[in-house]
Amino acid sequence: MADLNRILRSAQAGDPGAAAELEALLYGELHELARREMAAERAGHTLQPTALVHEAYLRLARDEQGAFADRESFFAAAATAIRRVLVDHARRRAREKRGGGRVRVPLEGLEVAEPLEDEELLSLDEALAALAALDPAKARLVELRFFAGLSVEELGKALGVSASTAQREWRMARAWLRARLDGSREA
Amino acid sequence: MKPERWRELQALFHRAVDLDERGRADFLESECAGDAELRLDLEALLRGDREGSDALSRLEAHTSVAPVDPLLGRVLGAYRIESRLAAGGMGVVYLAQRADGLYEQQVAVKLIRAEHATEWMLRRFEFERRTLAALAHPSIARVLDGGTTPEGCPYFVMEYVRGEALDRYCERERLGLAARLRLFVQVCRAVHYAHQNLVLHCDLKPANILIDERGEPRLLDFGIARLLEEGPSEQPAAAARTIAKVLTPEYASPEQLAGGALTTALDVYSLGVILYELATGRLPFESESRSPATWERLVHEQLPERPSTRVGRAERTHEPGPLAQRLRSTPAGLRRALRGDLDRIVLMALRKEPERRYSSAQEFADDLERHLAGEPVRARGNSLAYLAAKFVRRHRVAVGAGVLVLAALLFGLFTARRSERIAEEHAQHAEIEAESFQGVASFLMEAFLPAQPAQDPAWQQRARERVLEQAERVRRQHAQEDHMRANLLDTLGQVCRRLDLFDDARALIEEALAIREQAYGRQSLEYALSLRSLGQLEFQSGDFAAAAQHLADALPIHRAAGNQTHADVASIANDLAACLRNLGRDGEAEALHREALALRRARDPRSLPVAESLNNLAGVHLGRNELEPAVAELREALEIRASILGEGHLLALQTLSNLAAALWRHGDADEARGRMQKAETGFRALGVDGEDGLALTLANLGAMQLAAGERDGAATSLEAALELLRRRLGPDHPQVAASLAQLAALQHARRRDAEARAHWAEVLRIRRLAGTPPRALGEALYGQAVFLLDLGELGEAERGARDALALQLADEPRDSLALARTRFVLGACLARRGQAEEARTHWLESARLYAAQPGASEAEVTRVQRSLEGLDRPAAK
Repeated sequence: MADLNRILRSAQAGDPGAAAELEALLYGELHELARREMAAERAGHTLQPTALVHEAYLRLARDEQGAFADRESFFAAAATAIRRVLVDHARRRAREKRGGGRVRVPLEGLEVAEPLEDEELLSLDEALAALAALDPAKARLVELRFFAGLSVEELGKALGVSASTAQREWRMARAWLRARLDGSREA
Repeated sequence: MKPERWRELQALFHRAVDLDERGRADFLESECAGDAELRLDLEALLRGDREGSDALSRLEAHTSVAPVDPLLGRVLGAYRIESRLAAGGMGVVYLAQRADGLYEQQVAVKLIRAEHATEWMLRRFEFERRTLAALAHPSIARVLDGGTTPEGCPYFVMEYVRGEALDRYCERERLGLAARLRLFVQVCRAVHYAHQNLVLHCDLKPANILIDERGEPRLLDFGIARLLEEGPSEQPAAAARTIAKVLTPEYASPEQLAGGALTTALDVYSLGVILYELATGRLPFESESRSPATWERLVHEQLPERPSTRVGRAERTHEPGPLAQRLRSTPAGLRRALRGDLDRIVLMALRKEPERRYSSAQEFADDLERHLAGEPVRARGNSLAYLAAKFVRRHRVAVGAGVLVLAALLFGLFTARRSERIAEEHAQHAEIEAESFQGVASFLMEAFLPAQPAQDPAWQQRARERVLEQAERVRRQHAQEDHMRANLLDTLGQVCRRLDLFDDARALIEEALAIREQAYGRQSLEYALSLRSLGQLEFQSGDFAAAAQHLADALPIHRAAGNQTHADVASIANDLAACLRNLGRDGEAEALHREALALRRARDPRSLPVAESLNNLAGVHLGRNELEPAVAELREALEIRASILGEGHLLALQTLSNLAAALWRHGDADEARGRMQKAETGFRALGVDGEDGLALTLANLGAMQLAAGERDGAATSLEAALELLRRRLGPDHPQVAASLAQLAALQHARRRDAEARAHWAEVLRIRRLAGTPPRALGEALYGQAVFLLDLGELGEAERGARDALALQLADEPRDSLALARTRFVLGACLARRGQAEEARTHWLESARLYAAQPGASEAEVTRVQRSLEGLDRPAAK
């Protein structure tokens, strides 16, 4: 997919249009994965969001020579896309619940293993938005960790810091998020 | 929250978070005094630093691909772990900083995985550490320190080398072969230094050899693999097995993989693998498998290809990565540079038996330097007896079980020397590999015979002496072992056959046959294998009758042997059929080709052997003028060969050429011409390998041009074809006769009578040689008669036509078209000599035959009719 490499390069160069393009590409890919899973009639088969991203990466990121596109930039972009997919989905389901429907709507036909209840996911999404306002780098790190499944070493590489720094940042961000979620639950 | 506040909060968090509960309370008390809000925020944050079952923990557990490495940030001895550098079979390597602030120093910390850390190892570890720390060589990364983590994992602190792995460095810098060799020599010297200090590496590979910023090699991890030995050295085998589990199998020596004794020779072997890779871009053995058992088998059972051969093969099969270019050379240049000394040097280091390798890394380096300096090297090739014995042991069944799979072309049989190459390429395709002997024979050829063109008689003589010498040794050394002696003599016979030393080959193969007959009887598979070798030999020597007899004797024995020999049955049937066709026994040939095709299709409907059978079956059909099935078979054969081998492959081109010929005869002149020209271009692109095919293609193209009325073009093509054919096949070959006959007919048409006459005389000379099918001789006699009739030499013409007729009448099944034509010409001779009645008899019979023959042309039929009418109107004359 020669396109992907071009988009990644533009995204790295700071082109906001490229980031949106990549998101769209990924969103489409996730739908395609969902469709294929359905077609294969894998009853009861669930995919983890991070597994989805990894599969999408393997499918999308090969160029003609079979070389992979830059992994870090890919995951950086994928994390945002996955977060959006999951949050949109949770919102839609929440709306349908309010509308009285009781049917659990699987994500585009794909049963995604969801570690979080919809409300939990939406609260996390809000908390992340708040963290982004305070410390965008940390919000980014959380997004990469939770939605793209990057390890601490990979986080370090993606954010251009050492693994030990990434680990410290991660610990702080996680504590902050938990404190905030604790607070909102009490409230 | 203001940015300053946020920063403050973070700093406090990091300072407090690792304190225990009491420490945290004290910390909050002292640091947040008077700032209640700050204290609340910090308290909430510290509460947030916990594991639990809340949403965050669940999400984290769910998404973590790799657990967070608890070692990051920790302090071991004087060093703080900064980041992970690499993880391997034995453990993880970290980059660490000196933490005591005494001075700036980056080091690499290698942590051995807990599961490898047995108690014995820990004791051993202390001892080894001191030995390793004493290794001081500019090309070896120093071991600085070591210890054990509180969890009990041993670790080494090593000099941190900022560099690039040897292979990648060579690639990126695009180092030429000589530069690679010089770098490699330095590596050998460092290994030798360690060996002198009684330290083995045991896991040498490019990743452990870094090239630093100054372009100097630095070896990592000396001696570390040995620390994994499980127990005291009384159990070296167990130790080696443990190492085998974690090391990189691609670079491991056979004895390491098998759990044998560890000696300096194993590092020499690994160095050999590395040099092989640097020089060819490929490993000597390749497998996807990571299992030591698989590698052990692989490394034990196969002999590495010579580096020069490997480069040539990579080039022919278009493997990715144009290596020669990366080595700043051309493919031919690289092959030349590797051939000879370097082939021998690399293969010497890669020998299976430790004691037969270079006795030290130093010797290895010295030999390379001798090569670089243009001096004679010490490395010698293996002896023939050694290799043959080794091979035969491994290939008990395969040896002698293969018949040279010659691609019998429709218009002639190619026994040319170059077919060896085709057969070799065949062998690389798995289907044929098992049933082919080529691997062994070509290997033997490569291994001992000086690489020179086979046409050079002096070379052939030297090669012959060597083979016969080896045969003598085989008789001596294996005097008591019938099986081995017979196998080796048979093998040597096949080598002779491939050198075109047919008499020597026959003597050796018959000697093996006699041994097998006595030991196993005339119904044994062993005996049948010898028959097959003989058949193969006579086939190549051109004595088809003898070949057919041997193969026909071998076939029922193979058939009776059951399932395992289906491939052999198919292969023998194929070769036997090819012999029978050359003897004019097309009916039997067809049945055998069909049997072979069915057996081969049952194994794999779209394989190269299937294509071969289709191609040959088409030959039978074409011979009978059954053009529709011939075209269909050739199209399928072409499709299979082109898709498996590529369109430009010799075999695909041969089928293409055959198809073009069949199409032409079927009347599809345009498609035929286009395909024939494509074949011509393809064969030319193959150079000397394509000469046989080119000769045939030119011959056919000439015939097409002739039919299209392009007489000059036709003459050029045919003459070029003939020259090639004579050179490739010798002056007596049937194909030479066939092309000469075409050229004779053409020169006749161009009124170059002297040339035509000479050509016909030569055609007849060849066709009268023993072994020519009567049909072919009849055809030649007929052709000459037509020419003589035209010149008015009626007596000669009549004699020829009568001889032709007698042959054709005796030939079964009768070829009615040929008979019709011969009877017409004979009638013409008689009529012109005034013997009208006899002429009428022949013409009437000719007309009857033409009428029953749908393939006859309108012109021919009317010609007979008119002639008969002419006889009935003598008055008009």
